[in-house]
Amino acid sequence: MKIGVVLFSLFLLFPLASYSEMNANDIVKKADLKRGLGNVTHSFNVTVIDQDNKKETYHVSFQDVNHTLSEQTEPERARGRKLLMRDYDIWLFTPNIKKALRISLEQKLTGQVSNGDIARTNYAEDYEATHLPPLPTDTGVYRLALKAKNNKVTYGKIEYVVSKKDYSPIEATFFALSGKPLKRAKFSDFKTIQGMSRSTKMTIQDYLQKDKISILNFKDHKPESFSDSLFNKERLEF
Amino acid sequence: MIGKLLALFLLISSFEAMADTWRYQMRGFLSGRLSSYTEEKSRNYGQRARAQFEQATTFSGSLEALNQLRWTSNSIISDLSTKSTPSKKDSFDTYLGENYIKYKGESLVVQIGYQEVVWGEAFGFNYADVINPKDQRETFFSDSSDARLPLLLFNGKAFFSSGDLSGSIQFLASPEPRFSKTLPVEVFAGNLFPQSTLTVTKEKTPQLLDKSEMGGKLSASYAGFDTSFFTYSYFSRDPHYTLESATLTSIAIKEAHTKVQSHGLSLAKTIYDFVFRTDIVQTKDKMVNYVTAAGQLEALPTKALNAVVSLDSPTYSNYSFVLVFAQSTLADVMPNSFRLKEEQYGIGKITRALENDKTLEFSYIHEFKQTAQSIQTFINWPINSTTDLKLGGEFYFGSDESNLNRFKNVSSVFISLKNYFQL
Repeated sequence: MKIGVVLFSLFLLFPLASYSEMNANDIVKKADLKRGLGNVTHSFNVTVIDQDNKKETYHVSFQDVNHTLSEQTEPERARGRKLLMRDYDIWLFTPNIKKALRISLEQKLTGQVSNGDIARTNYAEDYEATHLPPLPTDTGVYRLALKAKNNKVTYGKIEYVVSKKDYSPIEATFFALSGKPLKRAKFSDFKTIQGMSRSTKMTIQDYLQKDKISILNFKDHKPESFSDSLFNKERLEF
Repeated sequence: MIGKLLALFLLISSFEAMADTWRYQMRGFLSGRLSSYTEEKSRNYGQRARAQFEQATTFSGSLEALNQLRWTSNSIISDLSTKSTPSKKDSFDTYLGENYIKYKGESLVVQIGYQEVVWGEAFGFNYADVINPKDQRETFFSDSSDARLPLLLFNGKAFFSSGDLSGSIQFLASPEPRFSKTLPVEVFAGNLFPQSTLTVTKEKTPQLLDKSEMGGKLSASYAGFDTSFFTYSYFSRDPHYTLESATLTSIAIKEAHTKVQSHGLSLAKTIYDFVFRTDIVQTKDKMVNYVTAAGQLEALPTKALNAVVSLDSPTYSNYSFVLVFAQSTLADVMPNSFRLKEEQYGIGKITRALENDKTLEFSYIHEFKQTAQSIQTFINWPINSTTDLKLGGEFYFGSDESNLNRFKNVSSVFISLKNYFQL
């Protein structure tokens, strides 16, 4: 009888043990796949709308997590602006300056959106994840702390909330290298793209000024191959 | 019958395929700036209107064309003059902007036609921006795209990459050199000409294929560094002057442009979230005018070494700043020269992001050798998705020998509007 009770208890505890042993970095990798096509060559369009209904659109060519080119198509005054990311290097080309300029990932692109929010979205590559103790309100979610692997990435730390059910990203809070909270993002509008449910909307809110919001809508994901030279800084002027 | 239907089907299919890649856009901008000058007593208001119409055509994934027409009405030149010169009048220019055809291959791009090519990494003083002539009536604070004038070029660029190293080799050739639109000569000559009336004969642009220019650039990016080496052999964009005739009350001089060669090095590096940039350019055979003790106008060939370093900050609580130091040195300078042997400048610029995409910018330039200062401040206000409003002022002051003081007559407060359109 005693042996039966022990076995039954072990049977009950085993799934809990397996949850607690789920590697935090593996969870982040799975969640990354819900925010894009993963590390495969593809393109997509992003529309950014702020709290005043101002709209900007970008066409993004994604070769892999370390090679991304974004070209702005709206509004008219910013048409032709290009943002190239190659590893941790990032360059901006604007048609009036006519030369590609090295900039930092942290520099603001528009509204609450940093360059890295569009050009470098694969957290598993840039951050080391650990589990955080769940909050009393947490149900069915992993709460993770993502610490920057180096000081070249967009943020110093991210607090990341991921669904236990299907590893969908739910919410992220971004912190500067100094530890200061910068902004909070919510992931929503999951749609089936290339056979998998993926988030198509990211709502970014300033941490202190809550009325400052930027909404990123991702669409038109399609596998596409690019020549290596597309991600060459020297090609941006063409 | 089947053959004819098949041919018709193939023809329609090919149109469909073409329609997939064929794109045509007509777009441009209209801008106007009204200035109220704070130094010019005889004439207090100036204006500049500008329009650009652009047709962009994509024929296929690898073939594109651009056609631009530009129009400028400008009264700034009149405000820099202090003597009665024939050039002291408003100007109206209509000219072709960039007009080229471009082939984009996998690892090679060729662009042929009138175009603008910009070299260098730094801002503030674009010493490496040697290719295109400029409209020098634009001031230190103008958008460089407003000042740049297109040049007929064969522009070929091949790209390479290997691991973390990427870069390019560029070749440029121009069969039709062009010159800058210069400021009145008295701005540089100061009081060296005692005569009250000055006449300048402009040098005509060389005919197509009569004279040529050539150069190239090797660029590489590796381990967070961007670097490039370049050389360009060209006709000096700025003229020197030779004497035609002189009396006690009037003098006539003639423009001349000789061939010079510039070599340079550019570097950019991200250090934490800061970006360091530098351009170093040496120009050989630059002609610099001077007036002899006997009152004769002469020109001396010399070497110029120009260097600029800058540091861009990231954004801290909506603030960002740029610091620039620039130095231009001539190897030899005669007394009573049109230019100083050494010029040194420091620039500080602070930008504050305001609500609704508005920005507030403050810039300060300090000229070290001949003490002078310039400040500019403005607010840029995107009033809707197509129109920007700019309100501000720019002011120049300092010793009479300084470069910045030469621009004192454009000290002004201004309001400008720029509207972008797409048809």
